[in-house]
Amino acid sequence: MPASNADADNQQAIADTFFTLDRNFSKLYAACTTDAQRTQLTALRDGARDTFWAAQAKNLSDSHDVVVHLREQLNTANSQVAGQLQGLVQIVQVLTLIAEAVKTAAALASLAAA
Amino acid sequence: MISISIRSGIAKILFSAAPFAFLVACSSVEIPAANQLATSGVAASAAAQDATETTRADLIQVLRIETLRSALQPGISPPSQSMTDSIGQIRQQLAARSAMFGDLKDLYSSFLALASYDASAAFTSAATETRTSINAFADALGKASPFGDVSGPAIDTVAGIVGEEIQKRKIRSASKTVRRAVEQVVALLESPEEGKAMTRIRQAVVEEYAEGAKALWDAGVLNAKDRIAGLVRIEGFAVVPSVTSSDPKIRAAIDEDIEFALTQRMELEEMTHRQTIGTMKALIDRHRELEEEKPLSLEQLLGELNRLVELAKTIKGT
Repeated sequence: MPASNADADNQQAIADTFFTLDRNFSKLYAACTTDAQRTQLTALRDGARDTFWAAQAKNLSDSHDVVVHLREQLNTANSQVAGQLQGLVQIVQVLTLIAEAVKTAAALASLAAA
Repeated sequence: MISISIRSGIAKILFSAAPFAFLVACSSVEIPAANQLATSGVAASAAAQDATETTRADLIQVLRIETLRSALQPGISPPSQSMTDSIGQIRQQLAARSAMFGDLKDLYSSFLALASYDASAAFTSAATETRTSINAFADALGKASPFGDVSGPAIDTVAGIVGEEIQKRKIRSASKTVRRAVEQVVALLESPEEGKAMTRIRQAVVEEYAEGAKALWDAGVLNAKDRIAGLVRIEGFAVVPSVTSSDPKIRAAIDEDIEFALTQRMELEEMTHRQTIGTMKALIDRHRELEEEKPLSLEQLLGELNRLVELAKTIKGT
């Protein structure tokens, strides 16, 4: 439960990844055309969910340059995912972007832990 | 913690006005006012503890909703061990908050007993418990312990005075002990660590409730009749017995309404947090008045307390 400004910013970026994926999950799942895509989407949500809840229980207040850079990367990835979800034409492209966001969120949750 | 027998003793004293008449007559500390302050402290701490327990219970609901969604929504997995463990850790952190309010409630109960008869030993024990749990809550927030010596004196020892003068001094001294504890509680509740962490947890719970409700709607087991009925206030109209639909327009409207309802819930929880702090500050001000032997402005305190109790009840019921 502990928090600081860096902690709040890191937590928010990680939360954005999970909430965006979760809110749009049904739409994304319906857009998948193969079982492999559906399996990948499920695994990505599982990863985002575990990272989100693990982050909630931690203090992510480390504000080292590497952490700040990772958070910026994650915010960019989150924006790209949100942008792709507007039209949702290329599911393969969206899954690649989500995978990048989920991977970055997990790295941020791990590195920012004080 | 205060024992059950002391609590039942307090209850008897609360409803017996006779002892107060004598005490008021011979002491400049107003005993009935001190009793009212203590009773308000008990109620405020209980309401704050209730609100914390509601959030703790909501986290269990998150696990239940995820399990439900995994059965209803293709592609959703049941809660993993990692998620369950993380939620368990957060619930433990909230337990420290809840225990702090529980011990503060007991401290106020023993203050009430002290204001009515000599319950010094129970008060000292409750003060130690409360200081310990405030330190534990500070630790859960990653902050330094406010109380270095949890078992330090809770009531000044007095010599050379007798009878009601001892009673008066004990109440003033005990009031300072309680006030210092409440001041530390307020400092922790107002810290950015506490505010931001609680907001995030609430947001996570609200998001899960929203997604769970949407999954239930899609499965055709959520009926919006009661909610829509609240919007129809024109005589002669009634909502159909079952409002469920797979029409995308209706689904979009339901999504919006769910978001609206849950935003209100978030606001309600924020208000409860602010009201808890407001009520605790009103308690601090009344303690100061008591210690300075001024008349207590109980009306303002009771107003704050009533708002807190109502908010805690509303959250529990939503």
